[in-house]
Amino acid sequence: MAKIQLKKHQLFSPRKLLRSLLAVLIFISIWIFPGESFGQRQVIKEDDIAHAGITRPGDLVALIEGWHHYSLDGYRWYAGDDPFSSNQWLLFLDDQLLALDFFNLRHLNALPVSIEQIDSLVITTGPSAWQGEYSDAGIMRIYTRPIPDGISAFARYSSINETGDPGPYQYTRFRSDNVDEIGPDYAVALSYGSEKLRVRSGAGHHFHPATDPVISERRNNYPQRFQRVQMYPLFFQATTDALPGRHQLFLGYAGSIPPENTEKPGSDLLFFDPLNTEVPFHSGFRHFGLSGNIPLNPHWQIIYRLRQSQTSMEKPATDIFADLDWQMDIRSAKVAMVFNDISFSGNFGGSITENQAESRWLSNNVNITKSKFFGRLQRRNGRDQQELSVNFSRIDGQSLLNGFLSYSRHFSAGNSLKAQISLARQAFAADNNIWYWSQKGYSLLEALDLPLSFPDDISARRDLQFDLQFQKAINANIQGEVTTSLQQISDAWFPRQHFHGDPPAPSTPVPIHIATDISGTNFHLQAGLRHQLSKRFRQRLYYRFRQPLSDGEIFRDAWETFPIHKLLLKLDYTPVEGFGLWGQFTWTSETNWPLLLQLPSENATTTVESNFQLDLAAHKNFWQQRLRTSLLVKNALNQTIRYHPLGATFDLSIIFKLAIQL
Amino acid sequence: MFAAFIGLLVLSSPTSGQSAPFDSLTIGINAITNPNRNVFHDFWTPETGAEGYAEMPFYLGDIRIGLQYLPYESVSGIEPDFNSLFGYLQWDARTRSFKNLSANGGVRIGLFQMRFAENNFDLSEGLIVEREFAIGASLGLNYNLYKQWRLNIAGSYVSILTDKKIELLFLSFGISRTFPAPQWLKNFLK
Repeated sequence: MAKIQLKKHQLFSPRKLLRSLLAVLIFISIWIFPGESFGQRQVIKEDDIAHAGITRPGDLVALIEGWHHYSLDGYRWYAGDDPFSSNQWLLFLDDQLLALDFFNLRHLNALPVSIEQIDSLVITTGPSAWQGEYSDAGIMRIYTRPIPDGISAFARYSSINETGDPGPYQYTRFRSDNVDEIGPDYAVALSYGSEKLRVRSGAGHHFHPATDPVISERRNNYPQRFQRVQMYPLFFQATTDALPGRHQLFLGYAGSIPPENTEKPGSDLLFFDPLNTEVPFHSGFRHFGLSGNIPLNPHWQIIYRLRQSQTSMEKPATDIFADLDWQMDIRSAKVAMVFNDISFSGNFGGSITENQAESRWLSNNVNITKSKFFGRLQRRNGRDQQELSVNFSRIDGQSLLNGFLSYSRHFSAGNSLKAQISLARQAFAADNNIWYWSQKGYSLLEALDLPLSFPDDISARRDLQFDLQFQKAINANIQGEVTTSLQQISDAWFPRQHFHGDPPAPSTPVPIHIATDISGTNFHLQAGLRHQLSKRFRQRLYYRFRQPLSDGEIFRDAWETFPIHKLLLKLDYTPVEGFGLWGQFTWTSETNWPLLLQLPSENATTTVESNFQLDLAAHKNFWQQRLRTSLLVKNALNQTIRYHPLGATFDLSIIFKLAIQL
Repeated sequence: MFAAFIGLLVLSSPTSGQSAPFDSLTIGINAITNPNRNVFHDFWTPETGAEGYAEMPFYLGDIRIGLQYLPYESVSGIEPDFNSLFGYLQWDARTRSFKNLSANGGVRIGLFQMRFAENNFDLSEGLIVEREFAIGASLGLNYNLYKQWRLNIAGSYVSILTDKKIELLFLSFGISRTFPAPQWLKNFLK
C-alpha cells in the first residue's frame, strides 16, 4: 500500500509535471526553434585580449565574467558554471569541436594555436547548443584571425615574473623559498593568403615550473626536473574557396617536452584528484579536422565536420608512483542542413562519434559510440523572436533528450526581454571522468589501493533551467542587463572521500564513494553595466550571485566550492591607436571545500578566503603597429591569492610580452 | 598604485597642449646614492653609483628608460657583496618652467638585478644573479643651465618586491641635454 501511494505521489510530483510540460512544449512547437545558447553570452575580441596583456590561452578564463575559475598551479585552470558540470563546457576552434580533455580537465593551454592567432571568443554560460552539440555547462567558441593576403610572419616572446623571492636575503636569516621565473614562452607563425587558398602554420612553447611550497612539499620525493610543465603546441590550417563553398583543414598538436637527461617521459603535471596530488607524466594531444559548407541556393547549405583526435598520457617518470597511462581516440562525423530566410533560420542533421579508450589498466579497449540527431529553428516576426532546439542523443546505452525554447521581444534598440526554458541531460559517460572509466574497468585506482565505490546504475544528470533576461539602454552610452535563472539539478553525481574516525594523514589513500541522485535548486542573478565614457574609454561593471535553495547536504556542499558573489570592474582606455591602459578588479567571495578531506597539513583549512584581485596592463605598439609590447601587472595589490585549499598561493606577477608581426 | 593608475587614466590625454610625443630626446647621466637605512642595510652598505637615461615626451608627460648601477658591500663579510643594476621605465609629469626652474614627478617600474660576488663564497649557479621586480616613485627639480642643457636633482623611492621587501631611497644629481629626435626614431616609436 505504501508503495502504491509513493507511486501516486511521484506521478503527480511537480518535477514530473514540469518535465511533461517541457516535453509537450518541445514536441508541439517543433516548427518554431534555438541555435546557440541563451544563457549569458560574452564576446571577447582580439583587442580585449591584447589590452589585457595575457599570453597563454589558459589565462583567458580570467576574462570570462560568468564562469568561476580556479587553479592549483597557475597553469592548468578549472573553469565552469556549476560544480556538477565544472569543466565540462564544450570547446570549439573555428567551429571544430576540440577534445582537450585530460580526464576531467579541459586543458586550454594545450590549445594548438597561440593566443595571438585568436580573433574572438564567444562564451555562453549555462545550457547551450552549437551546431548540434549540447552542453549544460556552457560553450566556448574560439575563432582564429583571418589569414591576410600575401606572406606574413609573426613571432612573440613573453615571460612571467612572480614576486616573493628571497632576493639577497637568501644569504641571511630572512631566507625564504625561491620563486622560479615562469617562461620564457615563445610563439611563431607563418601564413600565406591568396584569393583561393589561405594557409597558416605555427608553433609555440610554454614553460611553467610548479615549485610553489605547497606543491613541492606534496611532491618532495620528485626530482625538481619533474616539477614543471614544458609544452609545445603546433598547428597547420588551410582554407580554400576554390571548391563550391568554403572548406577548412586543421591539424593540431600539443605535447610535453621530456626533461633533459632522462629518457623517461615527464614534463607535464596533472593534479590527480583521487590522490589529491600532482603526478608528472608525458602528455599529447593530436587533432585532425576537416570542415566546410556547400551552398545549395541562397537560403540552403550543407555543412559537414569530420574529426579525429587523440589525447594521451604516458607513465610518470618516477618509480614511486604506479604507472599511469591513458589514451583516448575520437572519430566523429557530422552533417547538417542549414537554412536562412527572412523569417526563419535553423538547421537539422546528425552526427556519430566513436570514442575508444586504451590503457594497460583496461582489460580490453573500451569503445563508446554516441549518435545524435539535432534540429534548430529560429523564427523572427517583427520585434518577436522564438527559438526551439532539440537534440536527441544515444550514448553508452542511454537515450537523452535535450532542448530549449526561448522567446525574446525587442522593444527598441538596446531594450529587450528574453525568456527561456531549457532541459539538458548529461550522461555519466560524457563527462570523461576517471570515475566513469573506473566503472568501465579502468583498474589504476585499484592498483593504487584506493577503494572506489559507486552504484551499478548512474542516471544521466538533468539540468532544468528557467532564465529571464532584461536589457535596457539607459542612454546612448550606458547599457544595462539583468538575468535571473532558476536551475533545478537532478540525478547529479559527486565524488566523496570518506573515512571513519580522525582525518587521515596526507597522501594516505582514502576510500572514494561516488554519491548519486543529488538533486536541488539553485538561484542565479547576473547584472551588468556597460559604459562608454568616451570614444576611447569604456568600462564594464558585472555582478553575479549564486545561491542554492535546497537543503540537500551534498548539493549544498558542492555549491560551497563556488563563490556566492563575484564582482568585476573593468576599465579600458586607449587614448591613441597603439597605446592603452587596462585594468580589471575582481572580487570573489570565500569558497569552502568540505568534501575535500585530505589536507596538506593539520593547520590547513578547507576554506579559501575571498579574493581581491587587481590586474593592470599597458600596451604600446611601435613601428606602425608591427612591434607590440605589453606589460601586465597581475594581482597589483600584492594580495596572497589562493584559489583552492590544496593549491599554490600567488603574489604579484609581471607578464611581459614582445611580439612582431610582419 | 591603483590611485596612480586611475590618475594616469584621467590625466593621459593627448590634447594636453605639451610638445608632440617623441619629438625630442633627452639624454642624462646622474651620480646616485642610497642614504636611507633599514634592515637591509644591516647586511649591506651602498657605495656611490651612476645612472644613465633617455627621456622623451609621451602622449602626456614624459617617458623615461633608465639604467642605474650601484654596488653594495657586505657589512659583516658573511654575506656576499653584490652589484645592483636597476633597469626601469618611468612616467613623469612635468611643471612649466619658472625662471629656468621646473619640477617633475612620476612612477617607475623595473627589474632590480643583483649579481653576487663569488669571491670566497660557494654560490650555486642559479643564485649568482637574481632579478626582482621593483616599483617606485620619483620627484625631481631641473634647472635650465644653458640652451638645451639641464641640471637635475631628484629623489626616488623604490620598493623591491622580494618576500621581505627591500625599501630603498635614492638621491641623484646630474646633467642632461635635449636633442631633436631623429625622424627614423619618431617613425619607429609611433
